[in-house]
Parts: sequence; C-alpha cells; structure tokens
Amino acid sequence: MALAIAAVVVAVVLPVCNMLPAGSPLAVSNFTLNLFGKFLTYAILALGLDLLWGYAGVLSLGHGVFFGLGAYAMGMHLMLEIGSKSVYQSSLPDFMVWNQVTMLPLFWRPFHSSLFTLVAIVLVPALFGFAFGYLAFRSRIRGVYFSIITQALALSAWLVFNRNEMNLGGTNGLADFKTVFGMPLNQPATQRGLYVVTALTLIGAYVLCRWITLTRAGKVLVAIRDSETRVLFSGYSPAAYKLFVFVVSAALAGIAGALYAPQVGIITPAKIGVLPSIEMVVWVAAGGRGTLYGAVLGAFGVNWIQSWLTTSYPDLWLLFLGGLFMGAVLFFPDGIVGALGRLGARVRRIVSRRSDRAVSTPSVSLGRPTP
Amino acid sequence: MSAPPRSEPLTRAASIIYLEDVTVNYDGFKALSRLNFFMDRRELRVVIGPNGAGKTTLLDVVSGRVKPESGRVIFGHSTDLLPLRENQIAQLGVGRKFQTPSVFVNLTVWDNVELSLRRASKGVFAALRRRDAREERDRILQTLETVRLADKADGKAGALSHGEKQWLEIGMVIAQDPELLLVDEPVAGMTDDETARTGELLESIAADRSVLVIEHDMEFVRQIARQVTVLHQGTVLCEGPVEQVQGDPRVLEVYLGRRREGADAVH
Repeated sequence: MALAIAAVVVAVVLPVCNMLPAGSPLAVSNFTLNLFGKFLTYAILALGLDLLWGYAGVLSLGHGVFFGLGAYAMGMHLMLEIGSKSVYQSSLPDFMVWNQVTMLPLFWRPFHSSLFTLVAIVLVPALFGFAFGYLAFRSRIRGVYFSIITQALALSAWLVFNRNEMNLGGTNGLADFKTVFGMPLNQPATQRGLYVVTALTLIGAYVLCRWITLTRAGKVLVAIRDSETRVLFSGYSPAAYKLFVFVVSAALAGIAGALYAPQVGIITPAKIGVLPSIEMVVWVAAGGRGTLYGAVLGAFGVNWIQSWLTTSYPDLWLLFLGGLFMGAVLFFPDGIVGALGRLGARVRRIVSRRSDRAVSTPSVSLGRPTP
Repeated sequence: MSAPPRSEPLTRAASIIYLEDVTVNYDGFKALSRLNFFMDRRELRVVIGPNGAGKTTLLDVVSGRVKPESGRVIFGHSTDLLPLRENQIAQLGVGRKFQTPSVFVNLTVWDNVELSLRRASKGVFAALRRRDAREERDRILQTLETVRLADKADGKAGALSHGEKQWLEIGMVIAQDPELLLVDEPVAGMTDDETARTGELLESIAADRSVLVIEHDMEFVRQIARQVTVLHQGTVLCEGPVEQVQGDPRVLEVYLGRRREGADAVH
C-alpha cells in the first residue's frame, strides 16, 4: 500500500506539480524534477544490485561498467542525432573532428538507428555481463574474490573508456546532446517525459525483481547466500542461478545508464570507475539489503544528501560517504529499512508492556513473597 | 587408436554404488588408495575407521566433490559418475547429508524442504514458473512429519536447535527421493534421546533406499549397523557383520588400539 502511494506520488504527482506555474506553492521546479529523474535512474540500478547482493549474496564492485555501457550506447545515438548542428558543423561528433577522425568508426554506425540503440541499451550490458559472469561463476570464483575481480573490471573499463583511440570521447566522454528521438532536450516537456519514462521503468523494474524473489528461483538465490554447497548437493547449479541474476542486474544497470545520459546531458568515464561502482553498493547497504525497496530508498536518500552536501559543504561529502558506509556496516547492517523496523518493533514492545503492566500490577504485588 | 577393452559386466547386478581401484591424491597424501567398495541396493552400511582413514573422502568421491586420480565409480547399473558435477549426481539420485548441519537458515523450514524436492528440472527457468501443486505440498508435509518438524514448518530454519537442524537436513535429503543416501556422522553433538531417534529414522529410510553412514560413535554403530566396513589408510581393512568386525584383531589394532594409546597418554 505504502509502495503504491509512493509510486503514484513519484510517477504522477511530481510531474503534474512540475506543470504548475512557478509561483504556486506546490510547484516542483524543472531543476528538482530533473534531479529526481537522475535519482530514479540510480534506483533502477540499485534494484538489480540488491537482487544480486541482498538476495544471492554476490557483491559486485563493478556495476558502474554496466551502467556506463547503457549510458554510452544511448549517448552514441544522441551524439549522432546532433548531426551537423554541432560546433564544427560536421556530421561527425565534435570530439572526432578534434581528434582528426575523418570517417565515422564502424561500430558507431548502427547507432544511427533508434531501434538498434534501444536494443543495445539492454543487450550490450547483458551480453557483457553474461560473458564475464559465465567465466567467473563457472570457475567457482566467489565471495571476496569475485568482488575483487569485479573491481578490477571497473578499473580496466575506466582505463579503456578514457583512451582517445577508443573513439568514445576519451576523458570528456559524450556530451552536448541536443535531441532525444527528435525531441529537444532543452524543453521542460521533454525532460518531464524522460522523468515519467524513468519512473515507469523503475516501477517495472521493481515488479520484475519482486516477482523473481517470490518464485522458487528467488528462494534458491537466498539459499545460495545461506549455503551454496547445500544448493549444489540439492541438485541445483548455483553458477546458473548466479549468472541469471548477474545478467538481470547488468541489464537493469544498462537501462538506468541509458535513462541517465539524456537527463544529465553528459556521460564520462568518471561514471564507470571504481569509485562510482562502490558508491552504488553504498546506496544499497545504507538503504537495507535484501528488501528491494531499501535499495530504492538508499539510492534516493544517499544521492539527495549528496546533492545537498556537495552544494552546501563540498569538502564534507567524501567524509560523509565513508562514514555512511562504515556506519551502515557497524551499526545498521540492515540499513535504514532495518533500523526503522527495529525502532518500530521496540516502540510496539514498550507500548504493549505498558498496557500489560496497567492490567497486571495488582496481581504481581500480591504474588510477591514477603521477605 | 582403439578403445580400451571394456570389462563386462560393469558391475554386480544388484549394486547401487561400485568403486573400483579408486585413488585420491592430495598433494602426495593418498586419502584413498586403490579402494574397492560396493554396496547392494537397499543396504544400510556403516563405514568406520580412525581419523584420516578416508571416510569423508569416500563420500566426496561418490557425490562428485572430489575427482579421483584413477579408478572407476559406477552408480546403479552402469552410470559412470566421474564426468558429472555435484548437482548432476544429486539429480541422478544420490543425496548427501553433511556432518555439520547445512540448511538454509534464512528460509522457512517448509521452503528448505520445498527446494530439495525431487523434480524433473532444477534449472533457472523451470524455477521461475508457477509451482504449488497439491501433490508437491503433500510430499513436503509428509517429509516434515517423518522428521517431526511439521509444527515448525513456518519458522525460519535458523531458529531450530542443533539436533532439529540435523533432522531438517535429513528431511531435505529424503525429499530429494534419492536411491542412495550418504550420511556423514549424523549423531555428532546429539543427545542420547536424539541419537536413538536418528537411528530409528535411518533404519526406516533404509527400508526402501540404500544408506551409507559414516560414524564414530560405536554405540550408535551397534544400534543401526548390519554390515560394517572398516577403512584404514585409504583402503578397506575388513568388512562384515558388526560383531565379527569388532572381534577382528586388525580392527582392534588400528581402531580401538589407538583409543588405548590415547588412554595411556593420559596417565
């Protein structure tokens, strides 16, 4: 119920409030809506990460890579949409002119097609996730060793995307997008539309992940976290199940990245590396693992605090992020959701104890033996 | 290149598991050394032996966890287990109960059994489809009643006592409907009462399946065992009814003799 209300507020009420005139007390500014749109893309990614980590117990420190693959796939299409309206008025993206590239590289060409781009957003991260996961899980790399190689993946992807020879814009990445599927990005209506698509995608992703956790496959994931050996000797292949969630989470991360690029207007290798990948894990840890809604809350909450701190106290942000992760590990292992749940349980206990005492006080004092 | 001549027949007609000339080498230490071992269908067999005799390694080889350096492992009439993975061997009908209870603590007791049930496919896509068939529910309930956990079905498995976890795991293995059960020290850490009930449980299971039990507790061995195999340094030292094995001087030397040594050391 609370989830349904939250979904309506996010997907319907906020965009409607954005259409109100600026002076109105309920108005939501374009800036705020755009900021929330970015948070929602993070929440989509966090859902997949929670399915992988919170349920199956597989900690990936490299999901920035899959986010980046989706974002770059979308970004490439957006770059090609600019056409000759760019600074150099060439049909090539500006950075290629700058790098004296004279012909559009082969792998860029299919991204002229919107349909191909939409498919690539999902398939490129999913296939890459499949190849990586297949090799890792088949070799029975697990636990902290798996986390370390995903971190190495994030580092190497970051290095590769930074190289100008890759023809992906190097350090500066892809930017200056003008339109998305023909609609001008500087129009509030387009941004509002992107926001609504993102909100609906998040709802769809939540339903998908929740459905998976409710099937027998979802129970197998929890069972893998509890005792992978028992799962294996019960006739299941843990590698196949882990590969499945890894691919689902990679695809969700790719979709998140693809929605991120047009709303934020830029995608650079800085979004792919080790640090952003760890930040993603912090969202899930802070929100509460293994609940799905905790991951959404964490992605939203941590980033909201970040955007506030980085404008008001820019020096404090990284300290806060580190403190948050340590605090979550030490004091709130089950995140905001778990802490709130425990608080609620304590309040209920105190309330019920008080009402018990009100009833039973006379009999207790009578029953006490006199010394 | 001609194929090596196949020795016929592959196994004794009635055997459920057949190991021939199996050697397992852990960096120079031979956990199993040219071991020959077989069990009849519907037999309850107890394997005993001093520490390091290769008892758990024997279970590891049969269940696919350890691949031997040489030898053959045949399940049933002619299924070669060596090229198969653990989950494939489990799907064929070999269930394994570990020494320390290994259950899914974050799932309910019911779910623990449900996941273990024998089914045609245990793949991801089969597991995403709808379940909840009536017949399946009956099987789960029946299993829970066998291990006396029906009243705890909705609780988390993590909340069970040590003995109850052991039973739950036995129940999970029964739910797999295996032809052969491998049970590693089932009564370690159990009270006398729990031990007696576990013995009855294993004997009732052995009515229509083959059960291979590894055990240290000699009193428990006397309670359940008909046929006993003594392992020593990775090979079979002797085999026979429990009374006969207990009187065998070689067994007294390697197995009980050690105990006397230990007792001497205390003085």
